[in-house]
Amino acid sequence: MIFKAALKLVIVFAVLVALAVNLATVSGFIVSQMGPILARPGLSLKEKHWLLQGDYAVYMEFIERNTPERARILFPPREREYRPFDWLWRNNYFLCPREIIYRGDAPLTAFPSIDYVLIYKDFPDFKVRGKKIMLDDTLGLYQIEREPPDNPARNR
Amino acid sequence: MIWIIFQLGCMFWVGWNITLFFKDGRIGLLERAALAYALGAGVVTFAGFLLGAAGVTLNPSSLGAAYLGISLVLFIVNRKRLGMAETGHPRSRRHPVALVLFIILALVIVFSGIINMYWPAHYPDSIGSWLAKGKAIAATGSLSAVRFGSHPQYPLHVPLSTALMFLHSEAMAKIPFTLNYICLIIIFFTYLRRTLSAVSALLFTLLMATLPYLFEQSYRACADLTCALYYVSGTLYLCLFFREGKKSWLILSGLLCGLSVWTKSEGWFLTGADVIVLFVYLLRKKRVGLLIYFILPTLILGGSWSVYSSVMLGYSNRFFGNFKDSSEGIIQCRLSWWKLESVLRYIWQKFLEKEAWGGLGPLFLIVLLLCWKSLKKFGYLLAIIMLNFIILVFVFYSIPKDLQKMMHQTIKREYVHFFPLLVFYIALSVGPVLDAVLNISRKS
Repeated sequence: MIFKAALKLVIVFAVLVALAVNLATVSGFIVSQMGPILARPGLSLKEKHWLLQGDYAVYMEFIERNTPERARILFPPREREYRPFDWLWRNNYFLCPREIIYRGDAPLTAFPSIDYVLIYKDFPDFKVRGKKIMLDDTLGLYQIEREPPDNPARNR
Repeated sequence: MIWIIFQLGCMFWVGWNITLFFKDGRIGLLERAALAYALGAGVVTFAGFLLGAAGVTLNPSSLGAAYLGISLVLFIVNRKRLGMAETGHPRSRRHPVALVLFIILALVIVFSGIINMYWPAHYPDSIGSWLAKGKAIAATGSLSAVRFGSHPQYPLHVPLSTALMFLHSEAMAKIPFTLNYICLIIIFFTYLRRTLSAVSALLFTLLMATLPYLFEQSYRACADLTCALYYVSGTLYLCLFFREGKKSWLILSGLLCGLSVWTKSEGWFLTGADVIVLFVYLLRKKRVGLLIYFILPTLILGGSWSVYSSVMLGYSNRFFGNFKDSSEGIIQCRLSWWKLESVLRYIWQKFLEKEAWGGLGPLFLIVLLLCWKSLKKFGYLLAIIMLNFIILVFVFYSIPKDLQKMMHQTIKREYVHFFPLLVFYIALSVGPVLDAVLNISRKS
């Protein structure tokens, strides 16, 4: 009888300890997550992206603002030296439904209808004919200038 | 905002009408509301998939017309049952401890909601696998936009449910995750309330809701919590079917497990565990024919997408190929003991990880050891848990390369549906003991 009662108490105690451990851990999560929220409660979505992604969010907003939704944009190769543009899915998340093509994924001749080329560090590493739109010294876009198909000068 | 309310209202209305079909089972108002959202979100996203597959552009007007159609059909079929929703458990005097537990639980939900809604998506797995697809589907109106995210063969429940929110604004895109968390908590609580006092039911629900990694998932915007909602709820109602034998519970369970397959590919394996146990149960009861009620929704909800994604979009799931290769290896007695041992050791380490699962791993082992009568009493549930464990081992054993890296990245996520089942087993085993120790009757 005593053994049974002791057993019950042990089980109930174990449940309460487990609950206490859970609550302590979750409280830690809540405190760490709520701190930044309470410090800046009224941020806009754009500002939150800036806070989380840093300059990358500024770049993405610049590209989004300066390109139409149907644009095809050439990005540098997905390599470490071109961080933060090496993460495919994040680029897609911010710029979809724009089509992003990465230099190096296929020869450029495979993409005859590129509308924009990203300017970042030493990229593009080839000559581009187009209008330059710059955000700052490091980042910008080339808007590709297309020749009209029936250009008489070209025919000559 | 009106669009969001309209969307959620449609999901709720569709789900509510579906719950009215389960007339021989007793479903309270709170439970019905949670089921209404969970089922409605699943069915509405599936309808979105069917529309997209038929070549219709997914935009507010096409979706609105589809909702109107579904709602009208369900309304006509259900018009005689609309007033039949029960009010739940009879009101009784509330225990002060229950009130304290309720307040803590409410705070946990509120904080989870605030964190989820404040931050936009930023976790890599959430953006890559789910939200990039959701945003792209909303922007293009086409299912082929799944190419904008990683693993385009993954089921579409989460991308589509977020796409419906992205149609309004990105700031609201994560609402479904908070609602899923709330639904899981309500369904878990209302189930336990069938057999336990409010204090015990709340205590074990709190134990489940505060599983650290599960709580974290409530604002990480991944599909794991959504899959857990459907699979855990489905298993709960399957246990209710084992207890009461009512066909309604079996169909409801099949529908929920089917929606878990519509959420994550792993749902196939998890539902497979339930099918095996259900088959044994029905075989013993000589009612094997009932299995079709469980399997059919899974095949329709999960199978349609699998076929569409591989045939129409050309994305096949490598997961099944790896699984097949490992099965063949084991059948041909080519078991790699070294690999199995490293998988088991890693799973064991993570099972006891306090930062992810609090004190639940050791608690489950204690309960398993001390409440030996429960082994037989809740044998079917235990069998599902054990099969889940075997599946977990097998899934990791099937990984062809980079085993350590893959396990490190995914094991916690694979546990998200598993630990609530452990809490459920603990609650059923220990709940009556707790009620006896605290001297509380079930009605309080």
